[in-house]
Amino acid sequence: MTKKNLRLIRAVTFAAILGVTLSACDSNEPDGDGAGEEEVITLVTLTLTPQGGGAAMDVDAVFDEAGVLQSVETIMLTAGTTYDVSVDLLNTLETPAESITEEIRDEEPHAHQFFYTAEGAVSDNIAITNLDTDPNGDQLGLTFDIAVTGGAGESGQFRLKLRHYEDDADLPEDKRNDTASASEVPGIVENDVNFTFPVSIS
Amino acid sequence: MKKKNVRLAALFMAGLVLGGPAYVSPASAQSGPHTLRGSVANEQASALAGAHVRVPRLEQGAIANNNGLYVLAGLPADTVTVYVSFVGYGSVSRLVDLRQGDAAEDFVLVATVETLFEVTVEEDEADRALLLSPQSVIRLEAADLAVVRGQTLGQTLDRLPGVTTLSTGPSIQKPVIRGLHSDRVIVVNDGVQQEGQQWGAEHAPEIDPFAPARIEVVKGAAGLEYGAGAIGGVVRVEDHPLPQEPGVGGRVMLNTFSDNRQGAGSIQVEGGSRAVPGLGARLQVSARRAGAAHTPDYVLGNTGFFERAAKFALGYSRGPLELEGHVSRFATELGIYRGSHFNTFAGLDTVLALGRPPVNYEFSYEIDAPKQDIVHDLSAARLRYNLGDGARAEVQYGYQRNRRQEFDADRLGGRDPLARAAFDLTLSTHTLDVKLQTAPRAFLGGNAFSHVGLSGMNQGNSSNIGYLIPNFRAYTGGAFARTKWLSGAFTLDAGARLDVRRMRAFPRERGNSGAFERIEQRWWGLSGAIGGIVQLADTRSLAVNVSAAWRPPGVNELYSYGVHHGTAQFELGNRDIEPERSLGVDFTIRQRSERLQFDGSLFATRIHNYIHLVPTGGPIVTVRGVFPGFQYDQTDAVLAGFDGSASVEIYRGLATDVVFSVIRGDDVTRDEPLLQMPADRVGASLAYTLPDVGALRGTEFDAGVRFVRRQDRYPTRVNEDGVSVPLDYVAPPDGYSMFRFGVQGELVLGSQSVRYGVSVENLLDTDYRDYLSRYRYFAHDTGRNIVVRIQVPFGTRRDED
Repeated sequence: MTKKNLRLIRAVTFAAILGVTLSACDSNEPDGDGAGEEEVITLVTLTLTPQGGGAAMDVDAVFDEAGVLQSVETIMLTAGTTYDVSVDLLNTLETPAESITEEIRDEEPHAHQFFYTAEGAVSDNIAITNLDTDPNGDQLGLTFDIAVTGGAGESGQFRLKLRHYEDDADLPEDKRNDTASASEVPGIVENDVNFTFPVSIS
Repeated sequence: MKKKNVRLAALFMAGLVLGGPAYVSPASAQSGPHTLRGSVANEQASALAGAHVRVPRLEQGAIANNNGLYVLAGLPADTVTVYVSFVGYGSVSRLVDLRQGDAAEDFVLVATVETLFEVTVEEDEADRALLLSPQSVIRLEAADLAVVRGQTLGQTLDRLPGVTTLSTGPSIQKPVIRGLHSDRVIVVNDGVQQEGQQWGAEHAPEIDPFAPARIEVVKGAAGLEYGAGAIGGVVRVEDHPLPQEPGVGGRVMLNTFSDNRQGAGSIQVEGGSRAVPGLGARLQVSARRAGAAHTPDYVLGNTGFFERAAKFALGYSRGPLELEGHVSRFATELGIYRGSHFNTFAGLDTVLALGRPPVNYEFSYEIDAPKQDIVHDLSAARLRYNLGDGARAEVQYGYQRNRRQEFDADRLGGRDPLARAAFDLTLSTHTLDVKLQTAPRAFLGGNAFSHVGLSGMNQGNSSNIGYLIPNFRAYTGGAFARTKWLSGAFTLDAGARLDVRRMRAFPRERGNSGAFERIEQRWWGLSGAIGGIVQLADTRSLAVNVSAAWRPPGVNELYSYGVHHGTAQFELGNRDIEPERSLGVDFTIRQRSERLQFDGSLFATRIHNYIHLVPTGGPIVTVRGVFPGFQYDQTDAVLAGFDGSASVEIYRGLATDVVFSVIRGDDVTRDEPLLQMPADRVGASLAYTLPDVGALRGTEFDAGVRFVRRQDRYPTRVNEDGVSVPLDYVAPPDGYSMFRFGVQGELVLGSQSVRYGVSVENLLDTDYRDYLSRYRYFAHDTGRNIVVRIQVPFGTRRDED
């Protein structure tokens, strides 16, 4: 191997290493707003307004970017009261926060349905009625009533389930025949939301 | 290794020792009156001790001594063809006339530019196969590929011993080498390490199955050559060498697959320049379009795909200088079977109970959500400078950009899922490799070749949509030195390598609207190998290899955080994970005689800090319901087994072929089997080649069967009722046997030849599920598949393939 060859190798190596090092200036740091943004539900708020007067209460459940429950407030009800309730699903990672409930109401009310169920000791004392409807006249559930018939001192869970009817579903039949406890079938119906708030009655 | 494995291994070795030589034809029985003697030297007149001098027809051979002299006695009074070969040199054949008595012939071998250290040495020499590598290596040449080329790279390799396929439907298949895959297997695409989002089991290598002219599979760790990551093995994909002689030619390839009504085609045009000697170029364009696949009873909805690939390569060589560059794009859009995509765990439960699609799908070419859109761009430039007598320097730079968009089955609020990806990642990688190979040097009565190199990588990932994988920037640097020493019947190969990797990642802090963190981590690792080959006879060799390798944790293993839609598991990264380090040993016996070709390997690898997913024990409550939680964790694992192939010519034109793979993978800390280890399998085939008739050349019929055992070794856990249940959702499926039949050959019409092949896979339309098929929970594997392959060369190109 001649000296000339060695010099050539050294020069090429140096140039190439320099090239790679220079191209590495970009640190790839996310720019803070918007990087990796994803459509998720990070905040579920129930707004309860006692019928016949009284202050409206917001009850929140907070989720992280992967949908994991971070914190949930307890729904405090009073026996003998009926409440007007509305539900809001928000993506607070967007600025301003994006409302998924609005999206459902405006775009696909016929392909969604909310189910609300009281579970545990309070199940006999809470009645859910008067769900709003989609343009076909079928239940939607963005607003509804909670009637608390008794059970002061009891506590339990309040389950919120949003069913979504997908491409392979027969609508409106599949939606009409659906129940809160029916199974999920990928391609036909799946839950977009399914968790519980703690509830206690005073 | 457990006792049971030791027994298996002993049985296997006994089989090799007792069964192996039984086929060997009695070479020494051939005896004639004459002797051929002479010397073997290189161009510098240095003796080439250890060169092979062979008369293949007579199965006789000799090895040149330390002075380069050889003697071949007992030759008949006839003309014989003598082949002389030596690793690192081009081989020579010469017709020698012994009718008048003894003869003397001196041979001069010319050093080749081929490197000794990549597995590739020289081609078309049977005895080179014996000295290929101290490791177990399988090589598929262009002619083999024309017959087995599948719809994916994974499928092309599926029939090789020790190689299985991890599939997510018919369009996503990745090679599993001795039980390891994904980040543990390196794919080298025309000299450049492929860098896609390889961590995902449903992310297939972005390689056009039409492009390779040769594929090599290195089974076992290859950390010395490829640095961090190469624990499981390597798949090397190579193109045809660029033409240098003037003239234009190429080939047209067409494939159809009946199962998903797939049509695929590729055209390659290549040529050498007359005006500029040494300048050559090639353009290849391929496309494939497939609809939904069928199982024997139903359609797997939304499993169609549409793949496009193009590649342009340009090369120039003049004197000692060789320059080569290429640019390529691989793009695919592929549907994910709707019944395998879960937004909730309850959805998975429904389908598991059903075991088949919940919907009766119709066949369609349409690709709907969920789907993946992938574009992989690669450009590379290579400069080689030959310094004489086999010494050379090489610099290679590569740039790759991999964009992966995955579209969820649904979007919140019922918006169009195809309008926006659920996650969207761009991975950009720069690589630089510098290598220097020395000329052979006389050392301890043999010849030593050395090889040193440096390599560097700069990789960045940006997550455009989705939080599954954070942005990161990683730098990897490595240096290695390696020596190969050849003397007589012995080859020794040893080397060491050091790699360092630094990664800066930007995961989100846990919790709602968490800020981005900045985490710096650094890992380093030593790799090394020492191996040897002993040529036991002219037709047989035994190789032993010990290798150490390591793999730094992948970004998903460190930071993933979210639901995996293919398994309905909530996967959690683990920031405390340490690199995996492996130590493996591998014995390979090879036989290349006229009637029998045999390759058998016995191996055992221990992986310290083996990274795998384990249940967290508690459910994870999310807005969509409750998911089982899994977190990456580490243990010590041992993988051991044997694999190989034998092909025997039973009678003129009639040959039989056997391929077998057995592996045992255990978590030795917990003392339980590892999840997802390939089931034992053996394949056999019988091929009959007809004599040439008119335009029909090399017509071959072959029938084959593959038996796959049920995987009865899998981890279990005791559930809340005190019952032991599989850790996996479902116990492994039953074993199965799969039959195939095919005919292939060449049709020669005047100066035009057409290579064709028609084969029927899953001949009996058997209902089965493979343990490594990720759809096995929800659906059967695909049914009968009639495959047609046509290859037409054109122009003034060689027609060796």
